[in-house]
Amino acid sequence: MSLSKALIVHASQLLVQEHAGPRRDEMRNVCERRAISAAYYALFHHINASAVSQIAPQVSDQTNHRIQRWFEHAEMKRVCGRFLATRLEKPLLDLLGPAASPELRNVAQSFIQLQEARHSADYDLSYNFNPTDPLQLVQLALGAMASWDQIEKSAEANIFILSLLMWKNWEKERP
Amino acid sequence: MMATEDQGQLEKAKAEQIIAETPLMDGINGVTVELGEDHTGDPAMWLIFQMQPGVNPTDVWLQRFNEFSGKLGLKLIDSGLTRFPYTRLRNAA
Repeated sequence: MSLSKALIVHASQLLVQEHAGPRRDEMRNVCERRAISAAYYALFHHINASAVSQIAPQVSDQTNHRIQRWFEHAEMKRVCGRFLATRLEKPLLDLLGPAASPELRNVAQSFIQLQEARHSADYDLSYNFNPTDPLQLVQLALGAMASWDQIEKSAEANIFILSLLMWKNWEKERP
Repeated sequence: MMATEDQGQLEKAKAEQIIAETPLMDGINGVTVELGEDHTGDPAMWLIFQMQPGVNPTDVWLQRFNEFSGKLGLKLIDSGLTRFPYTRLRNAA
């Protein structure tokens, strides 16, 4: 099983875990936070594993894992925002045409949403979760992973992957 | 009021107008808009979806909710809003 799928299983298991005793609510809150975090990382690793298998198919597992560490969370969020635009700007406009596919837009939108949720789950102790949040976010990650699977071999996915790593260089092409 | 706050209020009003023109999915009472910054400091907006009392948020319902809220978010982005529309599902008070 891939890490991304294992993380989704892990998130789902955390949500059905039974808690008892005086610290029941506290422990449930911990599990919900960890589930949201795992949902984000499932999508993060799903994209990155697919990306590295496409750009460096011949490398060893060790090198593959090392390359996966090149992907930066904040940079990925910024790049996702670029692909969400109604009308893409240069250089994406020249490379892809006016807009990304609905599947890629879903991946980009879900990634940004999940990253913010993960930040709240991991760092914001005052954040009050709705009981539906963890399951909704796990479903969001699953939907985005399915969307990625539909396009991962496409030209636009190639451009997206390269953008994740090289956007700063491509920005030089912008007028 | 600073220019960015003015811009935020304009975007909020535009978002509320688009939401008012969009039929809601079953189980959702209404949507409110809140402005803020996300964890990276980018100006953002939060669409707060109020669940009707008694709705059972099953996997299937949540998948439909994600589809509905995702489409509404893209509609806002397509309208030219610059703030990313984060979504939150909340139980009706």
